This record gives sequence, structure tokens and C-alpha cells, in this order.
Amino acid sequence: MALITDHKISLNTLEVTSEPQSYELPKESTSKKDLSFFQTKLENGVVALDLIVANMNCAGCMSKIERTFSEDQKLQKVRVNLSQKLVHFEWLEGETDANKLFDDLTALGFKASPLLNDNDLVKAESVEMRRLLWCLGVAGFAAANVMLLSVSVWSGATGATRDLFHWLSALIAIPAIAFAGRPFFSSAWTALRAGHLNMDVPISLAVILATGLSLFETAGHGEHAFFDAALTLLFFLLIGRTLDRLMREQAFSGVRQLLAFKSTVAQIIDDDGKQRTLPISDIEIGMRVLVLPGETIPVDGEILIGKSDIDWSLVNGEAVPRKAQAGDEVFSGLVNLSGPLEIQTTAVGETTLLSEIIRLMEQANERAPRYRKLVDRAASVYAPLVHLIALFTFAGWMLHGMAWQDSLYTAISVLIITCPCALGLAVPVVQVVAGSIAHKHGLLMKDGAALEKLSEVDTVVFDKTGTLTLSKLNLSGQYFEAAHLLPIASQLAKNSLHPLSKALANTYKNSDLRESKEPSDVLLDIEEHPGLGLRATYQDGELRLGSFEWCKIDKTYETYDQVDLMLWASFSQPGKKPIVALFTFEDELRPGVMGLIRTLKAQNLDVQLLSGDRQEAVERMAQLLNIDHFKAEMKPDEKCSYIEELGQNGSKVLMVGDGINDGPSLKAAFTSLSPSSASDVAQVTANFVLMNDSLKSIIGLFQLAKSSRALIYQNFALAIVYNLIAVPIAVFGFATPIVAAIAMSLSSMIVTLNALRLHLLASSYQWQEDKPLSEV
Amino acid sequence: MSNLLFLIPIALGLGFLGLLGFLWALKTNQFEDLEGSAHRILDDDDKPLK
Repeated sequence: MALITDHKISLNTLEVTSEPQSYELPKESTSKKDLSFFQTKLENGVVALDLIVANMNCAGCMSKIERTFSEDQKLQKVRVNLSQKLVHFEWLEGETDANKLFDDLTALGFKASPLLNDNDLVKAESVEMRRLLWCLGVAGFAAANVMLLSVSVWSGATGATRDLFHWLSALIAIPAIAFAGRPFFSSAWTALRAGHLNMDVPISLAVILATGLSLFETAGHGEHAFFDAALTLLFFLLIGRTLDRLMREQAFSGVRQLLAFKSTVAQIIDDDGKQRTLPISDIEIGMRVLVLPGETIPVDGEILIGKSDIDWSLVNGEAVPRKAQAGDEVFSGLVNLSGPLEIQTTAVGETTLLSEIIRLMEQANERAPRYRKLVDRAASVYAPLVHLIALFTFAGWMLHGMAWQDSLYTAISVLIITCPCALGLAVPVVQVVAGSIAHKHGLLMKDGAALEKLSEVDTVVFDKTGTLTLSKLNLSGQYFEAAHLLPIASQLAKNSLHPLSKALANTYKNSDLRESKEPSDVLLDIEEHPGLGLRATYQDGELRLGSFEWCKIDKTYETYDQVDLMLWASFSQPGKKPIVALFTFEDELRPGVMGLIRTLKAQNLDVQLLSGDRQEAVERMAQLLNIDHFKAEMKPDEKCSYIEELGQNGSKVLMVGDGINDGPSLKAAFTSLSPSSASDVAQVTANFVLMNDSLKSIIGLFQLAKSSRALIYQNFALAIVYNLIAVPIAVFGFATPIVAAIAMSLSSMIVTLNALRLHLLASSYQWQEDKPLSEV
Repeated sequence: MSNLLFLIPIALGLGFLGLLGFLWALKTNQFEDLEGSAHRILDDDDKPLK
């Protein structure tokens, strides 16, 4: 550490007085994040706040929250959205405040985090969905009514009546098709202009041809009009499209939830050295921003104080972090890896949450080419084939001597009957169902393809710290005269933010050993020396807590100085032999890890452990968990290249990791998962995010992936069998367009029903037992 | 034949009402929380919630 520190802390007031010129940047933010930044102002002085409640799963939780808060007279409105796990509050400004509501919710036993009500974001997200639903509604209405008229025609209407019905159908169908068909027409047009075919081209062609020809027939008092077929086709296709969108929206709102809290506020250091929280949008040029390790840099600027490694990978894809120190330029979106930095703002970027999320979603899409989605592969073969068959049908019948209208009908029937509805629904329907099942069990799926990939995984690689363990240290051993020193040592430890000190302070706080504090127990002149330890004056002696050297421990104890996580304490009074104590700590295992590893191994998956930790620690963990393959003391780039190597050798790797440094490895792996406690980078990179503490849900996720894959293939098989039967019938002219439309609809429905079976299958999977809170 | 003069407008009108109903439900955010609504109907508490 290049910086000099001299924190003087007096225990009574716990006020930090640091000298403004030379001080160390804190390791953690000292001010509590103020939730009032997350509330939005509505009309008439009403304020609204949305909180995400991760562990709200059932109707019981919902009514518990609503009932409790209804009694609060200061609130105007409280409403739970169970599907999105949101609680919405509204109150008159000044009546109550966000922090109090948050605390109340926490007191009820719910884990809440705030959601930013970014209006642009919410709009952008829902506009597309709403447009599709409008189209769906219009298409449904038109299809039903036109079908009604068609039935009358089939049941024997002739002459003028038939013409009237046809004209009425045209009157309803043409505006409806023009309105509801836009999603397909625009997509087909874009594809055609770029010079390739997609699924929307035959769809648009079929709809437009059927409508045009029907209009021609109607005008010529003809016998057949196929407005009904065109509309039914559109209606079913829109259902598929809407489901697809729903899947995307699920992923989108998931990412939004993850990032809401983390990237919207920044810590500002004022001229007097005090910290305060400010939303990123309120930062002005010239302000000094504190960026702690693991945080994303919110502004463009110059480093004033601090040294760190910066991850540029999210910006330019470089896997190796670059060193940065005072004077260097940094940009918003970079991730600070190792040390706290103070940055002088030189430019305020457009880093709204929206831009951030859109960038991430785009990034996820860019990754898709490596593993092309099943449906895209099918489409690239299927779309040209359909066009060819239709063209041959038309040409064949023409050559055979049929009138051109009749040949065209047959060709349209072929286009409609081969309409890739069932094929188009096969994948999204399963993914939407799987996504909602996973979400219900606390797993966030970022994209549908990830589930497909997961079912092929044969190797699972775990990171150790923070993934298999909770990154929560527990006191595991006390040696020598620890019983004597524990009370005062833990009091001293309270004054430090070092993880070991915090663990020591917490253990004592939670234990029953607590004695009543006597006046003479007060520690005086507390000082912290980074990298060494703490010291204080206690009664007439000196109390030290920290490393072996710092505590000036007698050489006879040196053999004990071998444990990974340990703290020495010594208390020396003038003229007496110093009292010595040793505290050792260990990482707490995440619940369910043992069972998880056992089950994964039983399924013939190759389980491996990669860690940057020391050899002995990793070896001990590997033995405990019965993992044969493990590698210790791995640097982030070594982890990454190891995983790439596995991939090149043909293994399909699921990487489970949480660290800032795991970002590249998570990206390199075939598919990846990170716990919700993970760093921003890890969560953003991983394909799946675990929202609760237990890793056991991974087993359920594997089962879900397997059956989803099975269902997708079943659906493909159903769609193909349907086509094999229906296409020849259509080609040889036995199907009128309406029969084709009905056959097509039926196949879509069968595929959808088959996908819904996943709900039944998933109920027997091994998820983490998530007890509803109301029953606890 | 003259029946059709009022039957068809009635049929179309009813369908149109259905469409309006759907669009109204869409506009008033009634599809926002499908899961919650499913449970809410079973919740028989006389006290009105806010």
C-alpha cells in the first residue's frame, strides 16, 4: 500500500476522523445506500416505489404483505405482483419513506431489493409486447368473424348472398391482415432486402397471395375465397411470436432486476472527504467518485488516488486486465478489479440502466453464432424447401393443364399447410414453460439456447470460494488463552472492515459468552495498520490483533503459524508475560453442496474444482466433497485457458463461478451459472443465475434441461410427421386452403399441449426445498 | 334474406365488443400478474385491500 493511514477511532462515538490529504480509500462504502433514489414521483405529490422480493413464492406471502401494509394508514396503495415478484407502494410525499418500507418488509422476513422505475426502460420493454398483443387480438377477432361467414358459405349460400359474405369477409380481413400482419411483413422485407430467406418470407407470401387471390375471386363472383385461411394462419403465428417475445421479456426483466441495485448509484466523495450516494444520472463533471473493487466504473474520468487492475473485457473483449494507477484515464463500463479508486469525473456518459441492459442483451445475441439455435438451423433448410415445393406444385399443375387460378390455390394450400407454425412453436413454447418453471424455483435463465446447451453438458467445473462456499467466514478454532482474550479481541475487531476481523466480531456478538461491559473494558487509542493489524490500549496494557509479526508473538509459537485463515491476538501488560491467543477461520459451505456433488457424479458427469486458493485448502475441500479432479493456485487467465482447453478436447463444460475474475472463464465455458451473491461481471456473463443460497437447484435445472430437450425433439418430430402426411395431400390438390389452415392449427395446438407437459414433469424434480415463509 | 340485414351487424358487433374488451383489459394492465390474480380470487377477506 502506497498510502499512509492513520485512522483514529474512539470507541464511544465511533467517529472516523481522517486527515484529508493522506488517507486510504475505504474497502467498503460507509454510507448505507439510500433507497429514496429509487422512488418515482407521480402526479399530485404521490410517490411510488417498487421492490423486488426474491423469496415471495406463494399466495400466502402475497396476502401477508398486502395485509400487513394495508394497515399502514400512511400508504395509499400497496400491490403485489406475484409473477414478477414485485411489491408496488404508493404514498403521499413526506408521509413515509422508502427506507422505512424496505425495513418493514425485511422485518416481515422478506428479502427485498429496489427496482429502478426507469420510464424509458419500462416503455421500451412493453411497447413491443403490447404491439404483438394488439395484433393478436385483432387477428383473433377477424379470424372468428370471417370463419363465421365462411361457414355460412360452405353450408350452401349461393349467388348474391355468397358475394355479400365474401365482400363482408374482405372488408374485415383486409384491414385486419394489414394491421396484424405487420410483424411478419416487416421482418420478411428486411430479410429479403438483405438478400436471404427467413421463415417470415413464405408466411408473408402465403398470406398476401391468399388475400390477393381471394379478392380477385370475390370481384369476379367466384366460388372460393380464402380470407379465413389467411387470418387463421396469422392468428396462430402471432401466438408463437408472442410466446417468443415472452421468453425474451422474462430474460430482459431478469437482467433488469439483477442490475437495478448495482449500477444505478455511485459513491461521491465531497471536498470535505465525506461520502454520499448519488444516482449516476446526477453526477456532474468534476465530481470525485469512489469505485470499490468489483464495481463498474460509472463515469469517464481520471484516477486521482489508488491502484488497481481494470477489466476491459466488457468494453473491448480483452481478457487480460490492465493495470491502472493515479493519472490514468478510465471509462464508464469498465470494471474495477482489485483496489479502491478515486476518480475525477471528466465526462458523464449515457450510462443509463437502459443502455447498459440493451448492450448486455446484444452481447448475448452476438454470442449465439457459436451455437446456432436448433430452430434457426431447421429454418435455413426448411424455408427454401417450402418455396421450392410450392413453386413445383404450381408449375406441375399448370403443365398438367389446370387453370392458373386453380394451380395457384393448390400452391397456396401447400404454403399454408407447410406453414412452420408447429415448427416455429416447437422451441419457444418449451422455452417459455421451462423459463417460468426455473424462475419459480429461483433460477434465472438468460436465454433459451442456454437450456439446450445445458442438456449436452458432460463436465461441471466449480469455482471454490464464493461458489461452493458462502464467502462467509466462521470461527473454527480457538487456541491458547483464547477464552480470556475473545471478548476484548472481538471488541477491537469491530473497528476493522477486514473480513477476518468482521468474522471474529460477529462470532462473539452471536455467542452466549457475552458479558456485561464494564467501564474498565473500554478500549482506547484504537489504530488500524493495513496489512498488519489493529492495536489498542486496554486497562494498563496493549492489545494487538493481526498477523504473527504484528502481535510480536513469541517464536515458540511459530510452528502454529501455518493455517490459511487465522488471526493472532496478544495482550501485554508491563512486567507480565503476554497473553497469546490464536483464532482460526474457515469458509462456510453453501447448503446442499455435498448432495449436489454426489448426485452430479452419480449422473456420470465429470466434476472438477478450480480455484485460485492455496493447494492445501483446495485439496482439503476436494477430499471433503470427493472431487477427483482439482486444480489449485490458478490465475484467472489460467482458469480461462484451462476451460478453453477442455472445450477443445470435446468436453461440454458447465462453469459455476462467482468472482470478478471468473468472468472470462464463464464466457469461455459452453454454458455457465453463477450464484446471486456473485459479482456484477459474473452475473452478467453467466447464462443462468441462481437467486437463492442453495446450489441444489442445479440438479433440478439439469433435469429440466433434459426434458425440455426431449420435448423440443418430440415437437420437431410431431411437426415433421405432420408435414410428411400433409404436404403430399396438399401438393396433389386434395386440400383446400381452409382445410390446410385447420390442419396447420391443429398441429400447432398439439405441439403447445405437448410443451405444457413440462409442468407435470417438473413437479417431481429435485429443487431446493423452498418453504413458503408463511408456513415457517 | 332480410334477417341478414340485422343478424350480421349483431354478430359482428358482438365480436367487436369482445375485441374491445380484450384491448381494454390489455390497456388496464390486467395481464401483468397472471399468477397473482389466480390466487387472489381464492382470498376471501372482507376487508378491502389498498
